Amino acid sequence: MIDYTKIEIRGLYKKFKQGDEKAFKALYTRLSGSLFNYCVRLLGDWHLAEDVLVVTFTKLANSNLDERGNLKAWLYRVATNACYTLFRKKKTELKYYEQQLRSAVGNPGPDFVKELRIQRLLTELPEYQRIVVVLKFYERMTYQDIADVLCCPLGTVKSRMHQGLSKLRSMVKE
Amino acid sequence: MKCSEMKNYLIDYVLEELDSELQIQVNEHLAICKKCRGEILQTEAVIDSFKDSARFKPTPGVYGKISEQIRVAKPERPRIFGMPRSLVFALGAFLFGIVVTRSIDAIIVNVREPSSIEVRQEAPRKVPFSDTVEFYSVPAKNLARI
Repeated sequence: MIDYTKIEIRGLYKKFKQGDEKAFKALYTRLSGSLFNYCVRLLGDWHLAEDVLVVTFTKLANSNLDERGNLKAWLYRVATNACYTLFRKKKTELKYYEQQLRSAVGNPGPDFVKELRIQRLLTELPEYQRIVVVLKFYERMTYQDIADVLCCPLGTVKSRMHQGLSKLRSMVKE
Repeated sequence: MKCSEMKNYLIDYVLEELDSELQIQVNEHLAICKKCRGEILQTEAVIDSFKDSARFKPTPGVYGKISEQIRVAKPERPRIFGMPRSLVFALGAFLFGIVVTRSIDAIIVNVREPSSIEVRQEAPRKVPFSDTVEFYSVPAKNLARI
């Protein structure tokens, strides 16, 4: 009996490519939560975030990745690109997010208000700054990891982060 | 450390991701700089608002959607002479192309060139006796002198 929780994500991917479907399920269990949360924060929409998740994992299943590459960064890159496509099609609407949050969280208590406030802050940021902020504050990625996800130089990530943070600071002050 | 350098370390300092040496330098600077202390407090306020926010999970049906769409990795295709089938087919097509072009070339050459070589002998050309012509073409007064 294989204990999939002890295998690294690279190993799981390799096992899946050899035909082990359980390895894919383990990969999904391990990565879907953070990826979904990332997409919700970027898009502000549960349903769209789920669509992005389906696209991302379907691409993973059909991919043939190099063994040395960073699988997590690749997954986040695919999800980010899918989110960019949706950004172009549709602007984030906070009303829709509020409805979905109400059905997800339940009672509109202090947590509900806080969540709405956070999403409002994120929605105010331009997409390219929002991505960096979410990856840094929620996913706790290093600047280098973020640069790998976005395929851009380290300096660009840092400057986007600082721009985003100064905007957030001014918004929090208000 | 200067205030301009501090900007690079604000977030990492708040997230406690700085290495110990840098952390000491930042602490030393914060002890003497009121402006940077204020910036740190503001950054902390922003990061704290993100810290304890809810983490959402996808609905259970999402995996079903994914597994509907994926195809499980197929076993490797059979090989021919130890090479992938596609490579063997590509090589075969390449060789076939060479054979076809060579044979077409041979056919074209055969059509253009006749089987027997005809040697035509031309009659010798009559060359005018240029000196004579020149001699007789001189003016009459010069003829008289000769």
